[in-house]
Amino acid sequence: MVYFLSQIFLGFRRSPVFCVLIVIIISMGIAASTSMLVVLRTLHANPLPGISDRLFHLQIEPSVVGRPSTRGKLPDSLTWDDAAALLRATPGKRKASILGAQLTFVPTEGVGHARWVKSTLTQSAFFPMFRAQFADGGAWTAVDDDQASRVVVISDVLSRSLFGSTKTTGRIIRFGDFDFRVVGVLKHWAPKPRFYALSEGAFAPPEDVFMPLSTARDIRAALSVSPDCWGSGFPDLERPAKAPCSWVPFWVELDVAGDAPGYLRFLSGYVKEQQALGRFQRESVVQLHNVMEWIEEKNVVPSAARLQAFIAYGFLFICIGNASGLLFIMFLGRRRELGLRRALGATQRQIFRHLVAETAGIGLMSCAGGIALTIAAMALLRQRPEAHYAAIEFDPAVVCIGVALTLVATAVATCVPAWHVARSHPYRMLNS
Amino acid sequence: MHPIIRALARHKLPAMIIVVEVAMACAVVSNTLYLLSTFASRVNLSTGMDGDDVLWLRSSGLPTTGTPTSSDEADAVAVRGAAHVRHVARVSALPLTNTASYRFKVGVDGDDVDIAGTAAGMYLWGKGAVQALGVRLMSGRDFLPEEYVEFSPFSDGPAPASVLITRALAVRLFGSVDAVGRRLRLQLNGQPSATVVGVIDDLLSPSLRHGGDDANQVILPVLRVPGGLLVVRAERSHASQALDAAKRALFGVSHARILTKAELFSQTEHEYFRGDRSMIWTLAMISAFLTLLTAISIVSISNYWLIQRRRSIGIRRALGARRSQIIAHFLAENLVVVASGAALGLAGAVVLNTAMMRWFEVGRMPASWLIWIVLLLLGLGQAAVIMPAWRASRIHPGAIAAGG
Repeated sequence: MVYFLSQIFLGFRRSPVFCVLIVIIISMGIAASTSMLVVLRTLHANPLPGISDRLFHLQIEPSVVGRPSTRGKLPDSLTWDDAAALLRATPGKRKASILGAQLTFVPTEGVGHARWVKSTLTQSAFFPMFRAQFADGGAWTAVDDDQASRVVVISDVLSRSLFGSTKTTGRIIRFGDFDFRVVGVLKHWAPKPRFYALSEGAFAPPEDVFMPLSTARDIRAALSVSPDCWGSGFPDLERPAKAPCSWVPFWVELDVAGDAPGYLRFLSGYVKEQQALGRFQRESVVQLHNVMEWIEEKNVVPSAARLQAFIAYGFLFICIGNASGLLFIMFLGRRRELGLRRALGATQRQIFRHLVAETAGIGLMSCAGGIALTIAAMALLRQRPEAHYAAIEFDPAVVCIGVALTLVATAVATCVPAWHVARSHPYRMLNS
Repeated sequence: MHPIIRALARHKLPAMIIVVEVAMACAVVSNTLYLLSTFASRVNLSTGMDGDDVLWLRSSGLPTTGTPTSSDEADAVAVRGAAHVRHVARVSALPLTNTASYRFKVGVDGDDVDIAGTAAGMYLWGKGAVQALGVRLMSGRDFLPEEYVEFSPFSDGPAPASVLITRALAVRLFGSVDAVGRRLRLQLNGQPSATVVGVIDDLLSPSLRHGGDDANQVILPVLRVPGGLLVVRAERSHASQALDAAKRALFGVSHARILTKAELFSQTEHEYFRGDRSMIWTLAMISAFLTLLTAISIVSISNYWLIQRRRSIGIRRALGARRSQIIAHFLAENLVVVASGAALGLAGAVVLNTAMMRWFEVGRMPASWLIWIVLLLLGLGQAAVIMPAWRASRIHPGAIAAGG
C-alpha cells in the first residue's frame, strides 16, 4: 500500500505539468457529461414514484357524427360528455377530469391591482389520487363537487403571499365577482414533469388555486385549454357539451396496475354502448397510458437537451482521447528507464502494473475534480432560462455514475498507452 | 520518398497521435461551430422595427358585473396623453412577443390562393402603427386615413382594399422590391384582392417557427383591433419613464382591468432569444476548450518529438542546415500531419452532421464551412508548433558530441 502510494506520488512529481493537464482535461469531460446526464434524468424523472403505474391517462377516439376519422391518431383528451359519463361510472378507484383556467384574483382590501391566477379545475378525487399532501385543512368533498360549493384549495405559495402563513383554512379569497372559502392549503406539491397538464409545458410553474370544476362552471371561469376540435366552436364552461372538441383530460387510478385490462374492457363496453345509442359512428379506439408511458408518449424531453447531451458525450470522448495522447507521450518519454527495468528482469506485466499504479493518482484527482466541476456546472445550468433546468437537482445516483465514468475513462486513457509501452522490446527501449 | 515523410515514418506513434487528435477535433469542432453559427444567425435577425424606444401593453377587462370596462379608444387616448409618449397605435401583435398570430396564404391576382398561394403572416394595424413601430418604408407610402376599415379575420365583412407587404414577400411574389400598385389575392372569405400601397422592411412573426416564411407579412389597415395590444413609441431614451406613465394612464381610465403585459420591447426581444444565447455561449465554450486542448496536445507532442530527435537535428545542423531550414522542416512536417488529420476529420464531420440531421433539427453543413475549419486547424497546428520548432533551431551542432 505504501509502495503504491509512493508510486503515485513519484509519478506525479516526475511530470507535474502533464499530470495537472490530464486531470483538468478528464475532469472537464466528466463534468460536461455528468451534468447533462443529470439534466436528462430530471427530464425523464418519475413524478409520482411508487404509484405511477396505477394512474392512467385515458384517450377515446370521439367518433361522433360529423367527425372525420383520424385513423389511430387519438386526441389527448376526452369530449365533455365522455368525461362526465366516465366520472359517474363505477369502475376505477378514483377519477378526475383536469382543466386549466385563469381566475381573476381581486384584492379585497382594495390595495394593488387585479391579476390572473393560474388554476386547475377538477374534482375532490384529484388530491388523494395524485397524493397531494395538505399543510392545513384538506380537499373539498364529493358533496362540494355536486353542489358546486364556493370553495378552493390553494398552494402554500399563494397562501403565504396573501396571508403570510400556510394556516389559512377558512379565509376568504375573491375571484371575479365571487367569494371563495379556502378549505385546504397544500404542502409544497409540484410534480415534475407536470404530467397531468403537459400541454401547458412539462416544466411550467405549478398552479396556485384548485377549484371544483362544477363551481367553475357556475362562475364561467376563463379556460386555458388546448382543444382538438373538428367543427366550428371553441369549448367554454357555459355550454361545455356543445363544443365539437376533445378538450377534457381525464385520469383514473386503479387498485393495482394489473386492473388495466379490466378497465379497458369496461371502456370498450362503454364505446359499444355509445355506438348502439347512435352517438358514435363506429367502435372507437380507446387507450390507457400510465404516468411514465404518457410522459414518454408526449415526448417531454426537449430536443435541445438531447442535442446538448450528445455534444457533451462527444466532448468527453475527445477529452479522453487527448488525455490518452498526453499519457502516451509521458510514458514514451520514460522508455529508457522502463527499458532498463525490463533488461534487469521486470516482466511486461510488472511494467504495465507499475505504470497503471502511477497514474491511479491521476484517476483519483480526476474523480474529485469531475465531481466538483459537476456541482459548479449544475449551479450554472440552474440559472438558465429554460424551464426544465430549474427542476434539476443534485442526484447522488448520477454522481456515482459520474465517478464510475471517471474511473472507466481514466482506465481507458491509461491502459492503452501503458500496454503499448510495456510491450516494447527492452533493446529498442534502451536504444531510443 | 520525401525526407519529411521518411522522418515521419520513423516516428509513427507521435505522428499518429496528432493525426487522431486533429481528426477528432475537426469532426466535433466543425459541428459545434456550425451549430453556433445557426443560433447566432437567429439571434442577429433584425425584427424589422426600430425597437429601442418601443414598449407594449396588453390589458384585459375584469369578468365582473357592474364595473364598466374601458374602451380601446379611451385607453389609446389616455396613453397618448401620458408623459414621454410620442406615438401610440393598436396592433394585433408584434414580432417576437409570442402572442397569437394569424397566418394565411396570399398570391398574385389571378391565381387560386388555396393552391398557388404563399404562406404569410397577417398583422392588423390601427392608425399610427408605422410611426409607433418605426418600420422602414422601402417604397410606396403609409396608409391614408380613409383606408382603415372595420375588419376582423373571424367575421365575413369586406377586407381592406390596401395593404403593406414586407420586402421578402414582395420579392417572393413579384420578383422585385418595387411592388407598389400591384394587386394581391388574399386567402380570406371570398378571396378578395387588395392593392399594395407600400413595401416595408422585413418584419418578423410573433414567434419564429415558419423558417424562411417568417419574414413574409401582409399588413391590413383596420379601425379596431379587438384583443390586440397597445404599442407605444417613447421619446428617445425615456422608454421606462414612458412605461410607468402609460401604466398609470391606463389605470386612470379604469381600475377594473388586468395588465397582462407591460414591458419594453427591447426586453421582449432579449428574453425571446435568451435560450439561444445561452446555447451560443455553451457551444463557444466547448469549441474554444476543444481547440485549446488540441493545441496543447500538439505542443506537448512536438516537444517530445523534438527531444527524441535532438541528435539528428544536431547532425543536420553540423552538416550545414540553417536554423530557418530546421524551422521550415518542423512547420512542413506539422502541415503534413495536421492536414492528414483534418482530412480524416472531414469524413468524421460529415458523418456526425448526418447523424445530427437525423436525430435533431440540424441543417446540412455547407462544404465551404468545412474548408474554413480545415484552414483554422492548419493555422492552429502551425501556431502550436512554432515554439518547439524555434527550440529545435536553437539546438547546437555540438549536441551530437554531447551525446544528448
